[in-house]
Amino acid sequence: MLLSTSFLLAGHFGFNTNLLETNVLNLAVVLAIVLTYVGDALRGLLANRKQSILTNFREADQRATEAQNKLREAQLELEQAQAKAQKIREQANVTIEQEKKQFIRQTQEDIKRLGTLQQETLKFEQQKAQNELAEKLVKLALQQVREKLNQRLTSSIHSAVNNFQIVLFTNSKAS
Amino acid sequence: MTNIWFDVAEVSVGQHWYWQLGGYSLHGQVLITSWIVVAVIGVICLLGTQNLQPVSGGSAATAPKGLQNLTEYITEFIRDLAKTQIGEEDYLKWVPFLGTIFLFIFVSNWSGALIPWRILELPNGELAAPTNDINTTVALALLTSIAYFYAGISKKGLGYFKRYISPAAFLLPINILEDLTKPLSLSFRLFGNILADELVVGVLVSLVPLVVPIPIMLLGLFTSAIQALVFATLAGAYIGESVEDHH
Repeated sequence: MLLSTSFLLAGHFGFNTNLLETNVLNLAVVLAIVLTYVGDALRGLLANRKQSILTNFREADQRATEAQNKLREAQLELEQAQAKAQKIREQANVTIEQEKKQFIRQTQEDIKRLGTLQQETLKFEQQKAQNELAEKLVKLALQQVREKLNQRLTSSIHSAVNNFQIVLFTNSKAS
Repeated sequence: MTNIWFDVAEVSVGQHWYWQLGGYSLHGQVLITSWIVVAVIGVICLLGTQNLQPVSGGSAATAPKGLQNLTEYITEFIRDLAKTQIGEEDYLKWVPFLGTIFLFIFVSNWSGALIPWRILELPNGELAAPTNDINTTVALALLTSIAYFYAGISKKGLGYFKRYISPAAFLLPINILEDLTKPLSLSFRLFGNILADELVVGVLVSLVPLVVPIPIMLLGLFTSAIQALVFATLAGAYIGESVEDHH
């Protein structure tokens, strides 16, 4: 190392005002260069960073609004679909009600028809039974009459019967 | 005439302004400049974080600007550095350490190259970059060693020491040697670069006082910035090496 004289004399604080010794001029130039070029580069970097942050933020914002729009559309569609479903359900209810009424009416008609059919059948059966009964009675009566006639028919009784019948006829004719 | 030459020829190494503290000799000029560097970093941090503005509404008015933008940019830079060196898994808790190392070395180096310390005369020695002194760089390198030991042991427990016998047991001496060479190389690299730069500038200034030293000073700015980056990157790489899994 080169010899130095000043630090041998030192031993106290002080200011060195020698421009060359303190290298102030060169430092000023270096500082100016650094401030100009490095400062410029740094400012550019920082501006870039700021810009990219802003762009990212705006993009994120835009995406958020898009997503919200999509959500709103989807909600709208959901509401429409729900309304449609409601309508379909109501229609189905109405149809069911109508069919129910129709069925009830038909059933009532059927019941009525069956009722009349039953009445008619009953009446018919009754008549048939009555007819059969009447026939049997007539047959029985005629049989008894024949038996009586076969057993106890004499000429006197015959004439009496005849007379009686004649009287009946005449009476019926007169009346 | 000879007086001028003696006045100009003023390059010296190993001169310190000693402070005595409990039987220890401290290099006072290094402590002073270190405190100034710490104060500068602290003031920038405080100013940059005092009025934080969240981005809202995507409007340009709310974007980070000025010192906030700068500090955020530096933080992102250090975070990316830690992520590439340590890995996705563990990098986050080492960002503060790497950031401290990087910022302290960077501001120290640049303060040595940009601030006209020689205006102020001390009783002995002269003010310069704190990293101009081997004690500072050794302290930083030992911190890095402690950091990577702590990182490895806190993650793997005693299994950390398996790395000394891998890939083969006979490499044990070399692996132990590595732990010694890491802080050695870190500290000497930084110290040598900064001291060499200041010496070259000093010698050139004593030979040709004007204009000629300027390119060398600019080169010194560049190399000192690179040295800060190299130190932080290597610290990150060592930490990453000790936390990575050998499965």
